[in-house]
Amino acid sequence: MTSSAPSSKRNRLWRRARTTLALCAAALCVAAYVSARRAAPRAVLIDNPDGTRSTLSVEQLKGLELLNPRTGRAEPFALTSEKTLVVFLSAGDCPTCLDERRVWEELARAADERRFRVVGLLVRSSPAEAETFVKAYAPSFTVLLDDRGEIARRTQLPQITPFKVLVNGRGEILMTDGPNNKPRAQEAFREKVAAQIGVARAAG
Amino acid sequence: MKHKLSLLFGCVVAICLVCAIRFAPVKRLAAVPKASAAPAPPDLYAPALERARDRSQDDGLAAALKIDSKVSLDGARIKNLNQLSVASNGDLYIVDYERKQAEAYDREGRYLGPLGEQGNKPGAQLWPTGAAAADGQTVAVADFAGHRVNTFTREGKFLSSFIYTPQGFSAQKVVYDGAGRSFYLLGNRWQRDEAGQVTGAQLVHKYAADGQFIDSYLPFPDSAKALDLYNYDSPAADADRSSLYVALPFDYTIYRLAPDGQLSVFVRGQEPAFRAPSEGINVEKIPPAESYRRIQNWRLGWTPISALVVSGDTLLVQYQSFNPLRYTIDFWSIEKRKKLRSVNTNCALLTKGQDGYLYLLENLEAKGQQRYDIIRAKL
Repeated sequence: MTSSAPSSKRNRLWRRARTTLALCAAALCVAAYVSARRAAPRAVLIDNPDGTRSTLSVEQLKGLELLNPRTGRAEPFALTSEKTLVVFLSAGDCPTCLDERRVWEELARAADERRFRVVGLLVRSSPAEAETFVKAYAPSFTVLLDDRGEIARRTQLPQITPFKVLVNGRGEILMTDGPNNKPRAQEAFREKVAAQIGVARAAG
Repeated sequence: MKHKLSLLFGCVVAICLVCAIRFAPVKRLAAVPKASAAPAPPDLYAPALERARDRSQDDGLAAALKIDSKVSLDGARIKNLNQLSVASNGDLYIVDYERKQAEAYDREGRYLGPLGEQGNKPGAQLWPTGAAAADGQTVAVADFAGHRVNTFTREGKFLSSFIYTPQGFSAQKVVYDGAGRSFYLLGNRWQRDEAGQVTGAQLVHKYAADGQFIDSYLPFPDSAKALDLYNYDSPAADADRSSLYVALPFDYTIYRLAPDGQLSVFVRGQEPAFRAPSEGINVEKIPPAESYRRIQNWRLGWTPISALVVSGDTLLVQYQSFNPLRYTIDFWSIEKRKKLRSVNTNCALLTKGQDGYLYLLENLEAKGQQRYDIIRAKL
């Protein structure tokens, strides 16, 4: 008869080890899944008014050369701050852009440029119109003009303006928002962005 | 036994009572008759048009103007010919309000092409409301909703654009002054008090040819505020030798805006031919299906000025009079500031072309026609 005492003990130890390893692996999988779900997306789907859907990602905007209507020179679009509120607007048919401008100005003043910046991207506007726009409204934040329609070509966006996207330096999209022509909705948007950029309350 | 019978009798009575209560016919209250909706007012406009049509033989235009020729535009495309402008070579630029499209035709009425597509980018229009022949065979189209003016070649090639967004109005018309190289956009630039309530508006806005804003003029008359005529204040205007002559539909006061920006009253028309409105109209209280008819009925109660042109020394003012022809055109001497004569006609859309001719639409109505016949005439 074979003595089984030492092998039984080994087997028990091995079974315990296997169980422990399995539990650890499962815990790691759960943690990874939860972590992945929490991370901000790098691309978002946008529902358009015409029923279509468009995808927006920061990758699509990389390498964009845009016109600065103040200087008349081309500038590359770049995310130089920890977080950037990118606002797509147009110079002509956008009364809501003029309504919400106040909120963007307040947010732009809320934090220093290393932490947070507002960048306006003028679409569907000519250089002359962009120049009229910046002269008339003198926005304190950077405004660049997509004079060649590159943004629309790359993203099929935006179909309506203003359209806002808050991104971080890693190219993750933290939130998006469409036009808000009611003061309450504008206030809610301001508070959401203020919370994201870590200011107690954007100066109103 | 007696007790049981009494009990049975009591049950039967109780059941009968319950049935009587439960199933008794309910006396219904007499139905309250619905307040009958006010009957729609009769259509006064269509009969007025018919009477005008029946009296076409009395049209006095041929006696007042030398009719040179006619050009016809195909009605298959045009639904509502609302605005007309004519270039120095006779090209016709029209705005069709129903299709929200501006387009070009040549002197013989052949279709040249669209002036801008539908859209909100430079070179496109959301709602074109005016076209004006500009310098060098170009045409400017004003966009009411897009707040921009696009300039095209006669073939529709986009040349340039400017926005008027900062001035905060929507352009109903555009006039080009070739001598002063300026655009005039006409529309309500609202003035508001601290509470945001409308207190008035400025109606004429001048821009340089490159789109630089110059100034706004012509305050909405106080007398028309009481009737709330803001929605019916689309001015009639014409530029001549760097001055702009302008009149509001409900007021026979012709203003002159001089090149230096001075606005003055040039002439005032007299009754009884011209009648100002005595009451306003609130379309919000009118069912949408009835609004067109109600507005036309209301307009029959006064004589809206629809066009104004300056040709040489003569100022022509056209207004809807239905007396019984649809329009009356007053001829004024600019030098003497006196009315020379009046003519009744069914022709509409009095326009001065850059080619020196006067143009009028011969059709009684500017919409739904198989063919739009345009008269070319001279004083």
